[in-house]
Order: sequence, then structure tokens, then C-alpha cells
Amino acid sequence: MLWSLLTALTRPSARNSDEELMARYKEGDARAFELLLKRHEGPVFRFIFRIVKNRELANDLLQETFLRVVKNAKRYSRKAKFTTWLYTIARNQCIDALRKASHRRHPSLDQPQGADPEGRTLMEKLPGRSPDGFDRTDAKEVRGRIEEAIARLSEEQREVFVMREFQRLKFKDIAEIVGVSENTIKSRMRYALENLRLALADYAADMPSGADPVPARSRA
Amino acid sequence: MSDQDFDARLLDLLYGELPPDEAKAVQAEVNQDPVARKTLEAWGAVREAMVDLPMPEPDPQVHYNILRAARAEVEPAEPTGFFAWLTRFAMSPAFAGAAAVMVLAVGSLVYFNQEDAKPDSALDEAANVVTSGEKAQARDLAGQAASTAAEAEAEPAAAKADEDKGRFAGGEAPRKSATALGRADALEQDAREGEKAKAANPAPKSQYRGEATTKGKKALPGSEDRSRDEGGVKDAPRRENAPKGGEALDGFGRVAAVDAPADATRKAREADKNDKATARLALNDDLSKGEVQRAPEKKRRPKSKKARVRSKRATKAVATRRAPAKPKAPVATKPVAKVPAKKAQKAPPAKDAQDDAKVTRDFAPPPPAPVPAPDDLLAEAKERAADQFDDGAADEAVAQPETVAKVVARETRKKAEEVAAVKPERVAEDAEEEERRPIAATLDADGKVGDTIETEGRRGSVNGAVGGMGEGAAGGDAARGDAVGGDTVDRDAADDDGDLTVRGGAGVPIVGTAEPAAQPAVTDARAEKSVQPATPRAPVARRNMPRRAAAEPAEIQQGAGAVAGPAMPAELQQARAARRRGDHRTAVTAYSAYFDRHPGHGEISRSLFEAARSYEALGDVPNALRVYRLIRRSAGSWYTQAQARIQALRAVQAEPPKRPAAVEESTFDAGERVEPKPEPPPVDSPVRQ
Repeated sequence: MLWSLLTALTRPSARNSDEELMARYKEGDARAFELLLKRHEGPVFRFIFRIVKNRELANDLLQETFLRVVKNAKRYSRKAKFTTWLYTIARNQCIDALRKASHRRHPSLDQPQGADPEGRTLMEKLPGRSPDGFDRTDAKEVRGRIEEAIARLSEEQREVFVMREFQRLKFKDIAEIVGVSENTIKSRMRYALENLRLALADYAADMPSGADPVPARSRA
Repeated sequence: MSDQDFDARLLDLLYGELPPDEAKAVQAEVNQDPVARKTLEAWGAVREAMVDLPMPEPDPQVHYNILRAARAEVEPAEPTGFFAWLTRFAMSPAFAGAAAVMVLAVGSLVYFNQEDAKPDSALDEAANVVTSGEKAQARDLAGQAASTAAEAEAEPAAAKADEDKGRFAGGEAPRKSATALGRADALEQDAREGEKAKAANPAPKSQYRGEATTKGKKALPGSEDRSRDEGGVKDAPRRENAPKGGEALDGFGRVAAVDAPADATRKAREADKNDKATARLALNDDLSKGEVQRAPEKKRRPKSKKARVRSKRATKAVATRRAPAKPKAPVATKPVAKVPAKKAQKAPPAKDAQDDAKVTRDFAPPPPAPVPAPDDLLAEAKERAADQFDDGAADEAVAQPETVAKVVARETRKKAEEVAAVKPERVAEDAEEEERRPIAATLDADGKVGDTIETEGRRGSVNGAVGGMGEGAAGGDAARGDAVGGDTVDRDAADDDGDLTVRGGAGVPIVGTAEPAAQPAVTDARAEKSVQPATPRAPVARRNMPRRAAAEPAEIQQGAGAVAGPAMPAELQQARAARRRGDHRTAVTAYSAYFDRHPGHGEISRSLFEAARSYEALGDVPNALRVYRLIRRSAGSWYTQAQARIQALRAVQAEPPKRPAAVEESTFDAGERVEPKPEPPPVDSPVRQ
């Protein structure tokens, strides 16, 4: 009875923080790591997937990321934030993978599509969000265009945008992960948002469109 | 505040990272600045657009891989090596299951071995199944034997006592003390009491039960105690308790040390043995005669299936070993129990030789099957011939036994249609009967058996009839195999009509063709009697062939390698008949119907060829070519002939039209291979290049 009570009390639960779970895992509690994995494998995978844009590669990098966590668990200090440590590892994995696949190349959004040099650009093909232009049947295409717009961001802007937008990491944590100042992160984030706004100008009806979408004062 | 700082504040406001107070301040500032408000709305729209993006999930296998690695990292490593592997293997469910099966198997084996170890011989088996009534009878027999032994022992003991008393009275032994006299009196008294006891209560110990007990098998429950209570003779037949030299059994079966001479003891032992043997023989005799009532099944100890099978084998072996022996001479012993003769006669005979109980009791050898004399066989053959053929043929067979084979072949050919209607059951019965008959007469080849090939599709019936004519199983079998073999050999040797000719025709020992090495060719029925004892026994498969052949005529063709097929369809018969008459149009129609209704028949290839020939005869060369091309290349098909005809027809078509008659005449020989006309070499044209 007492033993079961102690076990229940000491059993890792979802209420435990990442750091606590990691500490328990260091002590040999494999279930704590299972909770950590359940909590972070999805976001980390999506982060990696949006960076490398390859599902298979994202799976491999996700596995490698957590294997590194497992192997370096003893070196983990509770003072550091687990997510920061985790995303640092994931980001490094992505960078290594992108360096290996350095031959990749993405066409510009402003580059004419197709063989016709006078053809429409990808930006021009983006549908507007007006009642006439928006069609739910094109939702898949719209999502594809958003993904493409994100993919066309620079690696620095994309990783910051993904970590902040999808992984809900704070700018401070992102700065720690990336290893730059918080202002630099915010600057990259601002440019990322502006580029996406331009890319999705036709999609977002309520998005302010005009000759000067980006405030002049923000153009550094 | 610089623009960068303001934009940073806007981002914090957008993502909610500002404290509430500061957020309100920034929001108020944004409301006053339209550019800032516009920028904030645009960023908000971008964020709103991101909501529609899908949320991809990782591969589940990655999850398990990571978890396995995580557990392996924190949990102690499993020991490696053989013992670790052995431990893991021993703890695996598969090993546990296999071990359980092994235990069950070994346990069953031990149990069955114990069960099987009970009967050592048929006699023990019989003793085990003796009923209570039989036990009483056996006890009577044993009691008689034991009483005889006691009597034989008591007599010398009394004589010794008389002798001692006389000696003492005569003064020959003054040194003898009164104790000796008393001892002699005691011996005499014991002897008398033994006689009384013998007369009053014979020894009840069953020798059968005693043997079973002695041999370490399970005795019937309470048997020993009962024997002691009833008779008081203490295991008279048991060797360990049998009296030895200087010992004798008293009237109560006790072993007493007496001064009786050793020869008296030996005599008693011999008398005991004789009585036991007599009793056993009497019991066997009674059992074999059926005078002893069999034990009801319900009193037999239930055995397992395996034990029953083994017991049955042992019983069969014993019965087989004893079967050739002559019946034991009747022993002059009073029958223990008699069953009314009518009852014994009414007992149902053994229908199945596998009835172990009956075989166990039926020690008498079965009466040998009467071997029919050749004359009887001949008479039987004549009767069968008279049954199946007309009187003239039967009479001819009767008049000249040596030409029976020829008559059979001729009649078979003549009445092939009638024979085809013979019921397979009857043919099978005849074949079986002929198979059982130990005579080996064979048909003279003489080419006539081969003629039966024309009745294709009815070979089984025809040959079954041949066997049924009384020519003997080996002869019928040989003729049958010959017919099929001829068919196989001569398929390609077709004449113009497509009919088969027997390559192994007159004078060729077709029997030898069927089995050239295993059996010598026997072509003369007159040598039947001399050949009979020297004819080797046909192998099992060969002996069984008549039965199978009669049951399924098509198997004959399959067994000889011919193309199997059912009986000849009526359409094919009509087609061939029409073709023989020269009515090729009717033949073509009948062939067409045959092809439609029997696409899988074994005569398709030949029939196609014949149909094509009929088309040729009608002058319909295109259809003839079309039909020729339908003949596929396969073993035993008419593909070669068809190709030859195609080449010939092509040559005819290439030549002037006034010559077809002559060409057709020359090409209508099926056996002739027409060499194809060499085609001109291709001309290389510049266009092709």
C-alpha cells in the first residue's frame, strides 16, 4: 500500500516540467523520457520538417535528435531549459543536413513560372482571399502555397519564424537556441513576416496591400 | 524609441510576450499610429494564414526506436553469452510451450508403454480377458493341478512315515527317539489332512493369473487374496514359492521342510507341471472350440487406443506364428465348462481379421483356401464365356481350350460395342475374382488384342472383359497393358484414315512389350499348366491394376502414358463413321459438334487433324489450314502431321489451280512428310535500309 502510494506519487506525469522529467530520466526512469518524447516529438518534427522540407529526412533527423538527447542526457544540466537544448540539437541537425544537401535550390517567388519568360510569377498565381477568388476546393493548393512561401524564406528567417510561430518558443529562447541576440531574432522575424505578407497578399483579403506593404521605417 | 525598438515591441505585442501593462501602452500607441496599426494587422493576417497549415506527425516507428534506445541507455545491459542466451531462451514462451509438449509426449509414452507391457503373449492376453466364469474354470483347473501335486507329495510323505514307524518298531533304529515317532505321526497326519483338504477344497489359484502376477504385470485386483481364501494353496505355480529340494507342500499349500525324498518332490513338481500344461491346453482347446464363453467386453479393462493397436499387433503376430501349427491334440481332460453346441455354432464368424479378440482366441489355423484345379478354372471360364458371348464362341472355347485367347480376342473385337456397355461393377468383380485366382494364363498376342485399340475409349471395358473370360489375372493384365502400350507406341503411325495400326502386330509377343523384363512373355495358352507354378508373382501395383482399370477405364490410358480422356463421345463416333463413308460434310459437322461439346477430350488433336482432312476433301483449303493451325504442339499430338499438311497446302495454293487434285492426292497420306518449299531469300531494298 505504502509502496504503491509512493510509486504513484513519484510516477512522472504530464504535470512535470521538461526539466524534471529529464532529471528523472537521468536517474533511470525511462517513463519520464517517454513523456518527454510524447510532448516534444511532434513539434520538433514539424520544426525539422519545415526546415528541411523532406519528410523522410525529417524523420531521420528527429530520431537522431532524440538519440543525441538520450546519449547526452548525463551532460544535461537542469539549469538549462530543455526545449532550448532540444531545439538547439534539432537545429544543428537541420543545419548539417542542409549543408549536406547544399545543392538544393528554390526558385524565387518572383521568378516567372514555366518556360515562358513572360509568364506569371508564383506570386501572381497566388489566389486572393476575396469571395470570388477564394474557393474551399483550393484549400490544398493554398496550403501548398503557404508552405512554399515559408520555404522561400531565408534559413535564418525561416527557423526563427518556425520556432516562434509553430513551436511557440519565445524570442528569448530562440535567441538562445540560435545563439544570437534577441533583437537579431526579432529583426529576422519581422523580415520573415513582411516577406510572407507579400507572398500571401492575394490570399489574405484583409491583409493590407499597397505599393508600400512594408513600413519604410522597418526597412533596414 | 527607435523604429527597430518599436517594431520589436510590436512583435512582442503580436505574440503576447509583453507584460499586461506594457501591452496596453503599446496598444494605445498603435491605435494612434495608422502605419503601426496597418503593420500589426498585416502581421496578424500572416499568422492567421498559418492556421490552415497541416500539422505533420512523425513516423510511429521513429517513436519506438527512440524509446528503445532510451530504455537501453538507462536500464542495465543484459548479460551476453551462451548462458544469457540460454536463460532468455528458457524463459521464452516458445520454449515453455515446447517443454510442455515434450512433457506430455514423454508422459504419454511412459503411460502407453506401461499399458503395452502387460500382455507378453497371446496366452497372457487370453488370461487377462478371462471372465469371472472363466476364472472359476481356470481355478478349477489350477485346483486340480495343485491337488494332484499335493497328492503326489502326500503319498511319499505317508510312505516315509510308515517306513519310519516300521523301522522303529522293528528295532532297527534303537537310537531313534520318541520324538521321531511323534514326527512321523505328525507327518502322517499332515498327509491325511492334506488329502482331506484336497478333497474338500481344491486349490483355487488360477495358473493364468499366477503367471501374470509372476511376470510383474498388474494382477486383477484381489486375485491373490481370493486364491488364498478360497483354496489355501499358496501360489502353487509360482516359482519363488515352489517347493525346492527337501521341501514339500503340505495340505494347505504351506511349504514344509520334510525329510521326503527329493525324487518325490520332483515327481510332485512334474505332476504339477503336467497338470498345468494339461489345464492350459484344455483351456486353449475349449477356447478354440468355443466351448468356453467369451468374456463380455464390459469387464475388460479399457485400454488406450495405442495400447489396443499394439496389443492387436502382438496378438496378430502370435496368431500368425501359431496359425501354421497343427491343432493341439485333445487332452483327456474333462471340459471345464461347456457351452451348448448350438450356441457355439450360432456365434457369428469373424468378419474382419483385425478383430484382435477373435484372433487371440482362434488359435486353430484357418482352413486353407481350396485351390481350384485347372479343369475347374477352365470350366468356369467357359461358363463366363457362355454368359458374355454367344453359344458358338463359348462352344468353340470349350472345344479348344488352347484357342480361348483367340476366341476372346475375336469376340471382343466383334462385340466391342456390347462390351462397352458392361457395367463397371461387374467388370470389377470379375477382375477381382481373377486376381485372386492363383493361375497365370496369358493371351496369345497374335495381333488381335492390338485390334481392340480401335475401340478407343473402351479399353477398360474390353480388357476387363478379357480378364473376365477366365484367362487369368496375369493374362488379362498383360493383355491390358499391351493394348495401352500399343496405343502409345503407334499413335504417330496413322494411316490415311487416321486409324491406328498395331505396330506390335501378329507374332509379336505383346505381353513381352508390356513387361519385357519383369515377366517372360507367355504366348501360348497350352503351356498354361506348365507355366503356372513358374509364373512369378505379379507386383502389388500390377495385381491391383485390373481392379483399378475396371473401375476407371481412363486410368488405363493414363497408366500407359496415353492421353487420358473419357469414353469416345457420340459426336466423334459419328464423325469418324461419316468420314469412313466418305461423307465429309457430315463428318465436319459432327467434328464441330464434338469440338464444341468436348473441348478437353483426349482425341482433340487427332480429331482436328481428321476434320482438317475432311475440309481438304471438301476442297475447303482455308478452313483446313485454319483447323490444322489449331493443333498445338504437345507430346503425342498431331502437330507434326498438321504442319506437314499446312506446308503441302501452301505449296498447292502457290501452284496453278489446275494441279490441286494431283497434289491433294499425294499429300493426303498422313504419314508422309512434305518438305516445305524453300522461300526466296529476302531482297534488300534501299527503302528498308
